Amino acid sequence: MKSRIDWTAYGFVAPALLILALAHAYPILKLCVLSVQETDVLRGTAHWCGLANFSGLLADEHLWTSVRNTLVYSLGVVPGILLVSLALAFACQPFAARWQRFMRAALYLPGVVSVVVTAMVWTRVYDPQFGLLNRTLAWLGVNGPTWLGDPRWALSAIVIMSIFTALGTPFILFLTAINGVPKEYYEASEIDGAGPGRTFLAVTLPLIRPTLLYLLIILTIGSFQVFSAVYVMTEGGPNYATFTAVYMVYEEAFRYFDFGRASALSVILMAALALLALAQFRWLSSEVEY
Amino acid sequence: MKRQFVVPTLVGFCLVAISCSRTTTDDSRTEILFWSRPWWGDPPQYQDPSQPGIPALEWQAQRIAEVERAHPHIKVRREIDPGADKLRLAFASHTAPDVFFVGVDNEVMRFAEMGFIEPIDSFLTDADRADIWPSTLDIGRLGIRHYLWPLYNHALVILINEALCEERGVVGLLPKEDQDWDVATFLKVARALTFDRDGDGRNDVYGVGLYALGEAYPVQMTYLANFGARLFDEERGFVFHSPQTAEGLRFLRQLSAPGSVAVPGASGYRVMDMADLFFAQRVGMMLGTAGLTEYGKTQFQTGRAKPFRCRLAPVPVASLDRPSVSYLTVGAVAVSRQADPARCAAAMELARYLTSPEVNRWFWSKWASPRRSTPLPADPNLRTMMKLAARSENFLLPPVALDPRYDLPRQLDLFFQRIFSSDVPIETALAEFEAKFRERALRGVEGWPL
Repeated sequence: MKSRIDWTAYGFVAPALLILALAHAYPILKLCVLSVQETDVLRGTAHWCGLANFSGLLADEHLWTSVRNTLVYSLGVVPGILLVSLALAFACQPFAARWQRFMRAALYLPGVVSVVVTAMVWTRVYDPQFGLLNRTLAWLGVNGPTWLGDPRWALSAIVIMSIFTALGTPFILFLTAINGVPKEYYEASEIDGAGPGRTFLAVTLPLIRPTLLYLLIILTIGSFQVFSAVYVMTEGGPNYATFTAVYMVYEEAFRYFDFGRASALSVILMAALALLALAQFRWLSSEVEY
Repeated sequence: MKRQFVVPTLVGFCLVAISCSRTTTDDSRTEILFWSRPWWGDPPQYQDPSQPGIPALEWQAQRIAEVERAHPHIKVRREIDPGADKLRLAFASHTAPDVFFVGVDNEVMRFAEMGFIEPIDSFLTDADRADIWPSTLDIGRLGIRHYLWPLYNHALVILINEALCEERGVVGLLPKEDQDWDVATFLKVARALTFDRDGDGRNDVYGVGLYALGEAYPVQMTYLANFGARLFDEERGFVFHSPQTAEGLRFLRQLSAPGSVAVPGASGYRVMDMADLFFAQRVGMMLGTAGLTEYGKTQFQTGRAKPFRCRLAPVPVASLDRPSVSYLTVGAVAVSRQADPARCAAAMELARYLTSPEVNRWFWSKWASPRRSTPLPADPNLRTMMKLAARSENFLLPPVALDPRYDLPRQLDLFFQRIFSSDVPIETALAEFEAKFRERALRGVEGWPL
């Protein structure tokens, strides 16, 4: 029997789909078109150039610098945020609800502040002579580096700042996930003689895996898009030490007005992120049954 | 039911479309979009000090009304421009204002190079050419064309904490007004100003503040220029890789070496970071624009810094047989590319008026006039700065337009960051910079070698 389509349901979904199409699908399509065009911003013209933008990019040494820096940043930030927020959530879990609420607010608040403001504050924190960090290190007898002025440290400085300012959401999600694990499992684990470490690895971690997967994907995507902190704190320097992929997109588009190359780089970035997310999803996703 | 939904939606779309479209005037006047800045007309600078000041925006409205009265065919629509990135986006999206303020150090010459800005030569009168300092006009030159109406110029100078020099017993070594001094004396003063004030075994006051982040290349180039180094030479083209540059770079490295007289980490500092350290009396001397003294006054007035006596001096020279040379940071007004000649003329009328002596009379009487006809200010520091402005030089100007994909300011910033933050041999850094310049900057460039 032929089923009748209920157009009313589609009608309800249509406005959301329209907004999604305008806000996401159209820019992505336009991006793909621009990536195979040579654009002249001044005259407002664009013509087909095949894969010239991609080949030009691949031959550009700065692309590889930006890719390396982005990967290093991502490898620092994603595990850093996951580990610190998970550790904090795990440590907070035994506390009473009102302390958990306090911790949630305390860790979430820095995330509410604009990255630009946070980055400006951290620039002062990193001041080699008069900043809070090096002053504290000096008090401990350690001679701190010239964080943002030293190519060996500049990226690490941005990684550290990013970890400490992005703990809020992962902490809340981890805490909620940990609180959601049924108490019986912990009791059973205790009866079986498992210690805290074993309980965490055998009970907590597998049961919060969906949260871990979600955060891993979201944080990875976010880390590949790092821009504001770099723009405010180092402008990609010193000597390209913090030159990341999205910062390169910005430079190509708004410094050189080469929207073709900027779009080509964005397409590469988008494809890389899609593949990475897919790989993470396949690797980590599995049904969790309580 | 359907009509109830569709009609309001269509009305809404129409309203949005109307509000987003460019407004047109109902009269026949040519409407000029002018991006103003909030500081233009700021009472302490622009208004007659003997009269009660009015808010800057009100002052701006009065000046615009004057333009409209003097040129009945022009109607000016004013918008307040928050800064450089908005202009960049406006050019990229073909929504650039007709007339706008620019600091010449914010990529404006690249916009000119790309054809986004109208040349002003056919609108400059002989009187203008005779009155505006050649170096000031030169800052906005590309090839044989000029692109900017100069509004003010600040020569790069050495800002000195005179009170600190007195405390350390070296005030006698400082130059009087625009009298030249050499790098050896400068270094002697810098060493005296580097000390441990709180006795914790670490220096907490430094003689010199160096910074290399955020378009700081003119600062480093000014130090180098006083060693005789230049980027370009009208006869030989690119001459940056020279013994003079190498000597200047060695001097900068000497200042910034660990344990030396400069605050460590120059590559991580911007000009305003260093200005904050200077006015907090953590740094005794820095090279910057004379305009920073105004910033200092604000810091003092708001209680963010304790007041102290500040002196301006020329940039030190490698040897006293060569006069000190400075670089101008010019603020200007520009006109974006216009398709219609009548509109272009109207926009130029507005730009000329904004930068004219009649509007800037009070501003220039106290501060940074780009014109010879303005008498020197009474304040000794500003007089020093104006004297240096008169003998400044645009040593960053390429003799021909370079490949637009080669961003010389950015490359220079990165070069100096490399000098400050690594131990790459100076000769190697210079050779690599030259090789990249020749490979990238001159791609498709006509008229080179000169």
